[in-house]
Amino acid sequence: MAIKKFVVGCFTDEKELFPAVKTIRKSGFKIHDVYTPYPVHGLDTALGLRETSLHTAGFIYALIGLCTAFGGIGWILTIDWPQNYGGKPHFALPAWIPIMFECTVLFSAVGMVLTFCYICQIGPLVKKHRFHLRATDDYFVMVIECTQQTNTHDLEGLLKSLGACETKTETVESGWWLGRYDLPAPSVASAVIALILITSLSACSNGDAGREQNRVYMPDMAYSRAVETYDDKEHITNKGIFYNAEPAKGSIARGSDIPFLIAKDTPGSTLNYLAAQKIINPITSLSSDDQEEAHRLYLVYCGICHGQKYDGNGPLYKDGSGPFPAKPATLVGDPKYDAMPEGQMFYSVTYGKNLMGSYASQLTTKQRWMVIKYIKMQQEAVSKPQTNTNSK
Amino acid sequence: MHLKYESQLREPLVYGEKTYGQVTEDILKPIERKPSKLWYVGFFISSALLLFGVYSVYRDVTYGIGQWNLNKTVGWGWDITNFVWWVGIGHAGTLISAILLLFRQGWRTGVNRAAEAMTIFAVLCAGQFPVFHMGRVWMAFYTLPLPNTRGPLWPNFNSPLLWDVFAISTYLTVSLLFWYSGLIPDLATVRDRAKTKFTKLMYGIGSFGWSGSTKHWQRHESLCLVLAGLSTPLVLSVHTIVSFDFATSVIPGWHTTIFPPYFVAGAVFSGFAMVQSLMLVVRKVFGMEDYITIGHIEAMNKVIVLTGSIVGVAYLTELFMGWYSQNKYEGYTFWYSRANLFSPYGWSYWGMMACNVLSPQIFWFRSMRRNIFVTFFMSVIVNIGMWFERFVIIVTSLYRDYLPSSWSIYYSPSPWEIGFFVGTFGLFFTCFFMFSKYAPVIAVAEIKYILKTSGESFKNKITKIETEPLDKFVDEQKHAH
Repeated sequence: MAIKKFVVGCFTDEKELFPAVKTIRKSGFKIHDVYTPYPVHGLDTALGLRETSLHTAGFIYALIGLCTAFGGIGWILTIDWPQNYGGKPHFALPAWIPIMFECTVLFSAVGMVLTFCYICQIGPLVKKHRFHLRATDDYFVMVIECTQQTNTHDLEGLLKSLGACETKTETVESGWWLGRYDLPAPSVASAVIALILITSLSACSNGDAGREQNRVYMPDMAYSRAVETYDDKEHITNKGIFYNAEPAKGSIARGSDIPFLIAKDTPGSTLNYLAAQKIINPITSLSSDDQEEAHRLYLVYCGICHGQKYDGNGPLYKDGSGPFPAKPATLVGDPKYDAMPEGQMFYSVTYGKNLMGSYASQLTTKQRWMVIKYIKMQQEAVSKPQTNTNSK
Repeated sequence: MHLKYESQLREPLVYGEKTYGQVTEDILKPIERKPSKLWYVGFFISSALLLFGVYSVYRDVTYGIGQWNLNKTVGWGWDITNFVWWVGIGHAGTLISAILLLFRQGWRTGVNRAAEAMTIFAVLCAGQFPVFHMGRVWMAFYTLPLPNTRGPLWPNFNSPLLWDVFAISTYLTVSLLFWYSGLIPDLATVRDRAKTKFTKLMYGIGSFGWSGSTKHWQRHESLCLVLAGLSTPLVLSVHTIVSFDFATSVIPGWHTTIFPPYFVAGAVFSGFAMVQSLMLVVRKVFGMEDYITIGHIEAMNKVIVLTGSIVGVAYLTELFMGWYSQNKYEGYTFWYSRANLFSPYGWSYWGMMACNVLSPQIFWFRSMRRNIFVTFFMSVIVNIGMWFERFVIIVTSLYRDYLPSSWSIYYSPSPWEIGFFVGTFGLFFTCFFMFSKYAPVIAVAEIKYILKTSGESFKNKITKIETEPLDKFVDEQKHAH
């Protein structure tokens, strides 16, 4: 690296700085740079620097941002993932405007700042040569590059006469840290950019290696904290969560019948048996198909004792010659059973009565009510013509 | 960029006969000295609040947001209220640094650095709420359109909630870049004055090797100007998009086209109030009365009374439309749930009206605008009022929805919900204390830049010139460099 020699002159006011810059340039010296504590307006033109085109870069980044957002969203919502959102068109440009705008701003801002750092060759950990430490405080530091012919002593004298409060001559090894504009991009910055590119690219091109992990660093939804639908109740209780896995009291499954809520009597009590009188049969009428079915069910489950003719003389009793010791109830024709409320009959069928056992496991709730309704219909069929004849 | 001559009618922006060196000395004093006891007390209080917030959030993440008292109708409660409130506060910083830069308002230089810092910290606080509202916070990255093997599964770009993700993250990034690029030259000043090796190293890293070269300054100015130009529509877009979260829904009280301008005005309103609160404390504690002058405070109070009145007009317009539209649901929300003092949440509506619309009218009086105690008191009142505004908008629209059977009797926050909010205060003030200790709270270079045109010494000189005959003055100006 070449060694360069510089003459440094410090000014305390911009009023002296401007004439000094003019004079020095007219005298044919090359001003390396002027370091100031704040942006001094007009100094760039006085030094003959061209206007910066950083804002043009900003405009280009903005366009890139806009196109990226438009292209990205457009591709995703019309080609890669054309979802139907309430029947709206896939190409819903007005709804994309907010994000397109935000991306425009984001790309432009980030791009400009990075470009600014790159062209000024500044960044974290970058150390540049400083000719005078007070240049960031209250001095305007003019640095003149010397050639072989320059008489530094005379130049310092000239600066002093122009109002410089402090002058000195410095030799510095030439390099990017001097902040010259015509130097090519520093190798450090190129290396950093290359590093970023290589890391990001290699992160993308991991292939299938990433699939065979031993360590889950971001398990997505693999291990849910939520209660699993058919989880064992004990697991949930062990987790300290109160969850009884049962529907709320009194809830009825969709499509199922209204449950018979009266419990079986304790031995010796008839409380619930009597309470059952109040329960109304949810089935109010039977269609002919239903009647046929109810009749069939009656014959299968009831008729064997109560008889085909509802007279309590089924094959198991057979006028006392059957294996059954007591006479089953005469369902039609006996005033006791004609007057018996359907709820009470249901109780008997469900829980059993005297020697009759429970038929709850053979007949569903609906079937039981159907059979009861059917019996009631038979009772009515016998009793109604009677009342009719009486009135006649 | 600046006029060489500024009217004597304008107050000086910097008091006292300052030199460039004096400016550096004054502003860097808090960095170069040991912090005062008051700083330690404040820092530890805010750290304690932050820790409580961290614990509250830990509970939210571990047990789910059932920890919050959100219920079947009030699905957005304190969390979204706080989110909108914090985002709004951020807006003043960008307004000062960007819009006032474009409008060539010299007074912004005294307060822009701290206001921008406030913006960043406020947006940081705001961002916590929607993120933790997600419940499964480790899935937060699902909101980003990352190329993936999940289907592919992309976010819905037509959703205002996704616009929010983009708006808030862009806002944070751009504010941070803007703030930091302004900070670089000032950090270089600290670096070049540093005594210890460690400080030199740290500020050396932070100042990016800034040297103050003319070309760099030229680019820096260009950068700041374009960033200001970008931030101006950005800041308007951010709260507009936040308001879209509500306005694009069909909830009575939300479904209104007035929301974007009304939200932006409210955001600037609350933001300036927060800047006032902070700056009044900063100028007192760090003795910066010469840089953050009564003139600055007055200018900000003018913005407060303006934006407060805009917000007031918006409230009245909403009420009017609630009646004029003859829409049953709108009418119910505005006249029964809000404006009716005796409804369950009537107190919040009238609290908002009192704090946001009525009380700022006091700033029509010059003596009140220039009164520090009134200003501080009002800045707190305004922020309370703006919090109420968000609460009113969110909760009073939700708690009695279209289905009366699901109306919730009352929504009141759980300790962990409050703890989260308190925690963001901790985060905000912890960041602000750190910032005020380790970075110049006033933009040193920018103060030096206006010192010659708007400083008190210059004003005095101009006064002297003005008493001279006009011909002589013109002659002098012609021959100046």
